[in-house]
Amino acid sequence: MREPAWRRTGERPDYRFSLANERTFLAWIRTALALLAGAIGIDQLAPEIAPTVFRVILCILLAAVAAGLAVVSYRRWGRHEQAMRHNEDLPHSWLMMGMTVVVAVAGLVFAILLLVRH
Amino acid sequence: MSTGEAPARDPGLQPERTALSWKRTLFSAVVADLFIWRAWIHGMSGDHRQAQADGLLAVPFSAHTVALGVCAVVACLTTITLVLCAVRRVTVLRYGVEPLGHPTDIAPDALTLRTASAAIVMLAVAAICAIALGI
Repeated sequence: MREPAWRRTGERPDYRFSLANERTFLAWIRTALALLAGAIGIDQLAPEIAPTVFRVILCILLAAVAAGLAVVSYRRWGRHEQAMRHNEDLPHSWLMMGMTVVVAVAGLVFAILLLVRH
Repeated sequence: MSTGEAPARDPGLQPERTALSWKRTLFSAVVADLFIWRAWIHGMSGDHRQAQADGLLAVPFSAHTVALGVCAVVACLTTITLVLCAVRRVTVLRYGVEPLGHPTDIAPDALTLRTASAAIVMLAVAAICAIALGI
């Protein structure tokens, strides 16, 4: 597995920008891990939160979002690194909007489930 | 420090912050890992109670528990992979940019980040299997 082809184009950016990009990647990875821990944690520690099938579907959905986020965070890191190599603007991405919606909907669903159960 | 010379230490502590970021990521992975291991241990203790009830005809472990065990082992392997990625990065980052030929050499290679990202996907697959086995 060699380095991707874009790594040989443009100029290497200031190392501080590369490290900031790496930390952004890691922050998204931690977001994915938090979703994952939340998914399996709810499944394990709060089996009463919803009927079994509903609970399992919700938790699997959260874990699937986590897997998707891990892939997207790598691709996003690559695109940012590419843009910096060519001194371009950072590309726009719907990731922020998407994750805001996912987290807000998940929060709302679990809040409703807690209210209904107690 | 004379003008035009690279500073001995990055005043923004970029390498240190990046190394700490890797360590935080590892801690998050271990939390997700522990929940999968907990599911397996729960399965084993359930089997143990069942075996005591069944007496001599008991099956030591159900297929269900074995499958959870596979999930736990996969989760453990992904965490080890993540640790290796973090060690690879932290060993470069801990000395800062000083010993490197050029400051940009401190940038991560794509393979390390791709491996870390793939490890998280595998961890998510193990988690999904563990959740599905809980039905």
